[in-house]
Amino acid sequence: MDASAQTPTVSPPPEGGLRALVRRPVDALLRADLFELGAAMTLLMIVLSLHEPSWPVKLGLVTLTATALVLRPLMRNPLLWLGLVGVLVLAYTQTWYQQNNHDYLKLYWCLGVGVSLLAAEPLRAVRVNARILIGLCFLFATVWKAVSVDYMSGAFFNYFLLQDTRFELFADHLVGLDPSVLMQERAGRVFYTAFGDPAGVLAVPFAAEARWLGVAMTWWTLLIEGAVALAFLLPARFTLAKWRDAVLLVFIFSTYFIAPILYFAWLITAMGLIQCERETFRYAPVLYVAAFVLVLMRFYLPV
Amino acid sequence: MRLPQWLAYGLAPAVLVLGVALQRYNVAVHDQTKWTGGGFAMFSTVDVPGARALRAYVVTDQGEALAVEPDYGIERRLVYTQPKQERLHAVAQHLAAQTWRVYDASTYLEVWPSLPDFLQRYFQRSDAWQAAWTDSASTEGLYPGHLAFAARRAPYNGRPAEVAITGARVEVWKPVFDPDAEELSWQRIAEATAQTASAE
Repeated sequence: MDASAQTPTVSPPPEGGLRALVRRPVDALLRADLFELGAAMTLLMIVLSLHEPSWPVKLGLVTLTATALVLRPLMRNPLLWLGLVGVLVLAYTQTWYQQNNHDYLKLYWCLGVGVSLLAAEPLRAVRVNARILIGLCFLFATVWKAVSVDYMSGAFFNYFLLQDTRFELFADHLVGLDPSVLMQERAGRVFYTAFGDPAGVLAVPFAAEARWLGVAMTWWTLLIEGAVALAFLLPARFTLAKWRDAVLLVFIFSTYFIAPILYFAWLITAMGLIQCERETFRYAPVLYVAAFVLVLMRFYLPV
Repeated sequence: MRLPQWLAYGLAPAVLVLGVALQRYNVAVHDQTKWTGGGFAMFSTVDVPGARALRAYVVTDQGEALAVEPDYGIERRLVYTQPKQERLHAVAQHLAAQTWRVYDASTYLEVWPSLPDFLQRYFQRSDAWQAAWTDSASTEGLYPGHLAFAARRAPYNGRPAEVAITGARVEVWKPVFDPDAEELSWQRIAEATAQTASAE
């Protein structure tokens, strides 16, 4: 009896040790089908961002996403994406005005993928849809910030450093604001919103060490979001358009490690990955996938 | 089936722009917070949904009583995110249909041990409350002047104040940041009142 027929095949250890262990997935990503990868990331984001939906919505979304993640060819079927659009519309019917921006963007993105797969050149249409949707989303984000007195005052981020727990890593650890002061300020706001107060005013104590950070965050966010909008909306002949992946990746890495807003970050990472072109930035797919994983890790970091 | 190019490339972006226009309309007309509804204006204003205030008062013949943890009959967030008048009125009607126990400031110290922890901590932040704590006769300036608890889950079984309840009122406030004074204040943006069945 042939002994080799009974012995399970085991891959030989990679040559070159640790370097090869890193090299292999990078090479695999450089050759990967970007549509399939980005679609899988989108589906994962959709199923993980379910929050208290009704059972028909949960049933519809989980069934569609799980089936497509297992049967990969389904990802190229427009009915999957248009079906997701239908279920998401059903989910938002009663609460459309309180849905977050990532909820809307994933709806538009599913619609974009669905109709693109019915086009004569489906993959090109998917890429163009991704670019326009990212560009418009960042264009509006930039415009609303630029016309907002709250934002342009530069004091806006100071307030958020004190009040928003998502900025805790920066406020508590990097800027060194006193955690007891932060807790007191947050409690003050919570009590105020619940019960009111005759004075009706909360003084916002601006720590000197946070002031420069607030101003820096204000202008950096405006600049990088504006740059993403232009890079994704300008025609390819413009130099900035050729740098679109680099600009978006800088935005993702510089923003979501300070404020871990997981689902929005995942969605634009998936859309960025699908639209990227290896000819202009060879390592962009690797960096998008790294961002996808690192943002997730940052989200669950207990700080 | 093949879609024409303009539809395949333009439908989703057009829907996005339409969604933004609809959100801006609701912000302008119904005071919807800019953070939600697909306008992509997160992190542009301090008017965060969770920083908005929805407060309920039980209207009595001796003034208004702040309702403590009332059952609004609808998720609070749905009311204050977009405080449309008809939605607010439905909440006021729901509150006016409930049975309430109202306590005035003279009984607060007696009620105190039964109050929920978060309410005790809130009162401890008030100077007027600190004064009342050391001098039980000093109820001057205490806010709120009356507290109202839904009868079926009132934390205190003492005798409530003898007041005639005539209705309920709800109001929504939004935070406004003054960068010069470095202060955050709240501005009332909507309110609705409903009368109890007996008062109508």
